[in-house]
Amino acid sequence: MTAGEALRQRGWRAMTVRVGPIDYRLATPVETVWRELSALYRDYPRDDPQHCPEFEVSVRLTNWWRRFARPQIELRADIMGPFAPLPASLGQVAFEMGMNYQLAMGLNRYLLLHASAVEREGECVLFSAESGSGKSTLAAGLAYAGWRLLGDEFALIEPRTGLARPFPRPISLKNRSIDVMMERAPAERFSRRYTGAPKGTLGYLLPPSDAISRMSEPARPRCVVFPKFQPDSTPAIRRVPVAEAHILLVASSTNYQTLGEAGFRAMANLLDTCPAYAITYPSLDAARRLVEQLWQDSGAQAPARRRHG
Amino acid sequence: MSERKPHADVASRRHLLKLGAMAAPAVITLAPASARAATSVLHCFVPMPTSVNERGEPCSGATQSSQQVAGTSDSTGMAMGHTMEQSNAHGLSVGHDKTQTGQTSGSMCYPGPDSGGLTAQQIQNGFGIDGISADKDQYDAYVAYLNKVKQEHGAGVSCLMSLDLAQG
Amino acid sequence: MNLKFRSSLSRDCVVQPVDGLFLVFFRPSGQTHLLPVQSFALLELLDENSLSVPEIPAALAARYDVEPEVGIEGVVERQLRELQAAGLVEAAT
Repeated sequence: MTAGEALRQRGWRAMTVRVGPIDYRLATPVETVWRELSALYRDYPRDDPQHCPEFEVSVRLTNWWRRFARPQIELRADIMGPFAPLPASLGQVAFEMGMNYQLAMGLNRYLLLHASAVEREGECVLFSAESGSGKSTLAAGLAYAGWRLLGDEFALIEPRTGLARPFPRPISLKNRSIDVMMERAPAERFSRRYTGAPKGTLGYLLPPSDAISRMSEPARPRCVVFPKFQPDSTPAIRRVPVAEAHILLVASSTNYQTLGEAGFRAMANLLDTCPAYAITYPSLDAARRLVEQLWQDSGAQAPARRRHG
Repeated sequence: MSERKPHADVASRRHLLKLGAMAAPAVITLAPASARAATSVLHCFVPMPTSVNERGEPCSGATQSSQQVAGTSDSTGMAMGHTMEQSNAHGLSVGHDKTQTGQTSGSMCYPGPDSGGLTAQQIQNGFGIDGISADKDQYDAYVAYLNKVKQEHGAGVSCLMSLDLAQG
Repeated sequence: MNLKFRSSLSRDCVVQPVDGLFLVFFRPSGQTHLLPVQSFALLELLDENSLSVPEIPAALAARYDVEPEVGIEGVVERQLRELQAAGLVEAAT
């Protein structure tokens, strides 16, 4: 009996799924969780024997008797963190958290920034902001307004080339952002809502299909943006000094220190070639206009400098 | 309210500034934690709280002048990760642990700049804002605040760093 | 006090000038630092020479062709302390 057969016998279901340059192995013995996972990742490249999983995440019941009374799940992963058990209804949330955590802790092939990114004509904008700041909603809004989504949570910068590698996972939306995007994206691209999650109500929005089909096409960073969603504000753009941008991006990177000199050079090259801006916006439409403006502004600035150095 | 002090004292203060009494940091080490220091996003602008006491800590109870409200088109700076309202209330990341509800007994509370902060030029000119530069105690409060920004890597620290204090 | 200081700028550091400031990656610690021109000038000066605090103002003035500034030793001392705390400068034995 192989290990795989043993797992199936115990009710385990597993898949390998590719997101950009990363392959995950995802497994769970919980039937309901498996169904939602399969549905959400239906369009992603799966179970390719040519690719080895880089990270593994499994979601299982905490105790056998939990099948019968208030099922609770726990997260298991190659790289473990302090995860509290979650109700089984939040299985998909556990998978998404686990995949993020694995990446943040274990990925050292790329400089990792806490940023969303969208692409146009081979170049991209990076939106760097903390969790809960609206960068995912912003990326979702742009993705469904003609931009290609590269990622909503992490930007992967290749040290050797300076290119941004796509990592287009399902976009994680919280609370009101779900309502905002339901007006802009087809209903069938949404997962169900997950209530009672640590950050409130969560929902996952599949990006437009080109984000998935073109997930192996990198993009050259053109500008870095620090966005701030602020209701009732007047839309504003400011240039951010390079030194300030360094301080902010280093703080947003989980692996900058680990990458040592390579990380320093990658960050220096990124900010040497890309102007940095801060924007304040009261709505997605206002943000779109601001992004168009800074896209033009950054294009006018020394395109000759955007070379691999 | 303190009595207004003559300009001569302010002139000698500027001299001290040149010698680094209120000095820019020599080194900032970048780290994952360091940008919790909400950094100012404008070129050389140091956001300031709505009011500060003589120790450079945010306080409440300044009786003068209404302050800039967050997010208006006149606001010239934003503290990263904070709205201006928050930053005015909590003094950004500088001194926010100490006072949120008001001053300790005996301390005076001085209004911050109406613009919500100071530009590099204003700092180099001894603040140089009408009604502020003439008041030595308020001046000292501002200097104390800026020193805290330097020590705690608060918003605008790289602006302070880039000031060439040898220039007039 | 005749304690002399030195840096290892050319041997151990990668430098990126930004906006009139200097980003310095220090290989031995793996840390990245941001320096204004005054303290970076100290690093450059001490890269070639071990100098004590009293010797530095004249050496700076000579290197950058300026008048030595009165009272600058206090500032230099403070900057050296910060640079030492960051590991960028050490006391020469």
